[in-house]
Amino acid sequence: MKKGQQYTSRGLMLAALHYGATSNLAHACATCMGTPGTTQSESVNAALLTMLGVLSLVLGCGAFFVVRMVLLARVTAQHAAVSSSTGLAAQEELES
Amino acid sequence: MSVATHETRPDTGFSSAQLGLYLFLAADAMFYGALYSSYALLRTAAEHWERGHGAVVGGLGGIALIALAGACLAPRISARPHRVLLGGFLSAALASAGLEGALYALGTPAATSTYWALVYLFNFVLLLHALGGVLVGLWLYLRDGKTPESLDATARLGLSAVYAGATLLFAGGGLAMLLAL
Repeated sequence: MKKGQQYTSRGLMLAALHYGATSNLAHACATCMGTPGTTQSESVNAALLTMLGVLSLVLGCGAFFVVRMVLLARVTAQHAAVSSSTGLAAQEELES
Repeated sequence: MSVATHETRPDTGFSSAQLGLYLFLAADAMFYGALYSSYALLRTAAEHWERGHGAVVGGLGGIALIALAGACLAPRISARPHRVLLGGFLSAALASAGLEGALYALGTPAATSTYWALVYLFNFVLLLHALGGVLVGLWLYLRDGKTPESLDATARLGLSAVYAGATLLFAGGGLAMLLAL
C-alpha cells in the first residue's frame, strides 16, 4: 500500500470513529436494552421474528438442497457400482 | 466433468440455468423478507393505521388483476400453462403501473401515510421485477442462436414461469398482508 493510500484509510477510519462517538443517531438495541411491554420493543421484536422466519425458510431450503445432493450422490455411486459389477460379470461370462 | 449449461447435472439434479434462477429467487426472498420485516415494524409500532376503502380496493385490485389476467388467457392457450402465468405476470405488472399512476393522479398521499407508502412500494417492486424480466427476455431473444449452447424455448419458458410465479407470490403476499392485517 502506498503512503498516500495509508493516510487516506487512516483518515477515513478516524472520521468514522469520530462520527460514531459523537453522533446522536446511534441508539441502543430496542430488543436487548428496551423496556419490555413498550410499543417500540414489541414492534422491533415483531420485525425480528418476521425476518427470522424468512431466513429460516431460505436457509432450510438450502439445507434441503445439500441433503438432496448427498442422497443423489449416494444413489449415483450405487448405480455406478452395480453397473460396473454387472459389466464385469458379463465380460467374465463372455471370456469363459 | 463437463456439462453444458442447459443439461441436467448428475450431482445436483438441476441444470446450471435452473440452479442460477433458484439462487436468485433465494436472494429475492430475503429482499422481500426485509420488506415484510419493515412492514411488521411499522404496523406494530403505528398508533394510528390509516386504511380507507380506496386503499383496500387498490391492494385487492392488484391481486385480483393477476388472477383475472391468468383466467382470461387460460382458455386461449390452455396447452401452455407457462404462457398463462407469464401473461398474468406482465398484465399484473402493467395493472400495477396503471394503478400507481391513477392513485398519484387522484392525489393519494404517500408522504403522509405509511399504509399508502407501502402499497406504492409493493406495486413498484412488482413493476421493477417485470421490467427486469422483460429486459432479460429481450437480451435472450437478441442473443438467440448466437451461442452454441443455449436453452431451448420450452426450458426458457419454464424458467421464466418459475420466476414470474415466485415474484407474484412474493408481491401478492405483501399486498395480501396489507389488506389482512
